Amino acid sequence: MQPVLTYAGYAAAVWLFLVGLYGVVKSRHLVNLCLSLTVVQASTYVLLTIIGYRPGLPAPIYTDGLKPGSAAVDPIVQALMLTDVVVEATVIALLLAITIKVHRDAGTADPNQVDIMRG
Amino acid sequence: MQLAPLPIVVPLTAAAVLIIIGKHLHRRIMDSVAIATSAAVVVLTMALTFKSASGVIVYWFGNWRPLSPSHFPIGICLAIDPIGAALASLAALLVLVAFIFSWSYFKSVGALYHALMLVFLAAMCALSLTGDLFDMFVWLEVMTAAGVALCGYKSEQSQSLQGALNFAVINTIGAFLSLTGVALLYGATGSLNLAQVGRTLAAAHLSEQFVTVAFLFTVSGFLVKSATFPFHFWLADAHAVAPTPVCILFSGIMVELGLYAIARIYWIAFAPGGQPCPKRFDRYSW
Repeated sequence: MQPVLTYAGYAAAVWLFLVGLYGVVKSRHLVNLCLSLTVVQASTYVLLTIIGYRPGLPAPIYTDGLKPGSAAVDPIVQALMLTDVVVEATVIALLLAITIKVHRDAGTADPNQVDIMRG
Repeated sequence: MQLAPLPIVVPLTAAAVLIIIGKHLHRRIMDSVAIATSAAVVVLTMALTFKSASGVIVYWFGNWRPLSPSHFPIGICLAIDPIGAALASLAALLVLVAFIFSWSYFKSVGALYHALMLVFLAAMCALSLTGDLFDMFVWLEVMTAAGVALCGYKSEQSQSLQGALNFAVINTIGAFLSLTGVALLYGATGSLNLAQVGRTLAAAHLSEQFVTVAFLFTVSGFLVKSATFPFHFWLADAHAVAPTPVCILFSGIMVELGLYAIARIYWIAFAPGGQPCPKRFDRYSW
């Protein structure tokens, strides 16, 4: 049971990465491009979470029921994942701001139609 | 008073202060504050360079130090060696020069410009001083975010938007690849500390293929940042459109810091003491 779930997690990470990358390459709209980038980003969430996953162990919240010192799922990768979310939210916000600017200047957000986007 | 974290703390604080009260300040006051801050960082990093010449300075944030050198490190540290500190002082010097240049280069400029340049400086200092793998990824991304905003600063010119967009998308995908590598290394070694990863990799009997794949993933984001062939396509677009003072930083130090990060990761984590991890890389003729 355990290896199946773990491998499924890694497979999902790879799949999300490739699908997101395909979306970035093929996107015909800058908002679509930003969303594809978040899909690529989601692959790192899945990967980080699955690396810290320990089969059958509870979440690392040491309140009632879970004694300090007992085994739990690795909290460090979850902290890494949250940091990742914060960092990438900044980049996506910047990209969306640029998208609005491009749309205002060129009247379209299709990278192939915007004259300056060629090349 | 510890000197080590100041090159990161000082510019970040100055940037925050400028953003908050910048609206009410005259432009020349903001210019002066920015110049003074970067000059202070030059002095600080120079001092760190000379101090670290007698041995690597290790600073643990929040004093989360390992109990003894042989204990497993949990905290996040700065590991300051002369090369890193010297690169940080070069970065600070270039930011100082860029600020002096933009004194008369920009006809009008807002507090945002100064704040972004200072955040960029903090990220460059942190990237060259940190001793933590995940920290390297975070500062790489902070550099990208500040760099993109600076690259598209003249947003009335549509080419600069294109350059910034290219820069952001390609560098972000590269950073994700790096994060994947960091995650793989953490999964295999249980640590994010560069030196600890190096110790574990040298001792653990991991498969050659795994270490190679983890290395390639980890460095790919930095290869994109340093615009090494064949990851260089964003560079022409971004460098051509960035305002001149920003271009000083892009060409002068940002690209080189990518290469420096690769060297740091390779020599500390993958080849501690100049020796490649047991024979692994020999066949790739490193």
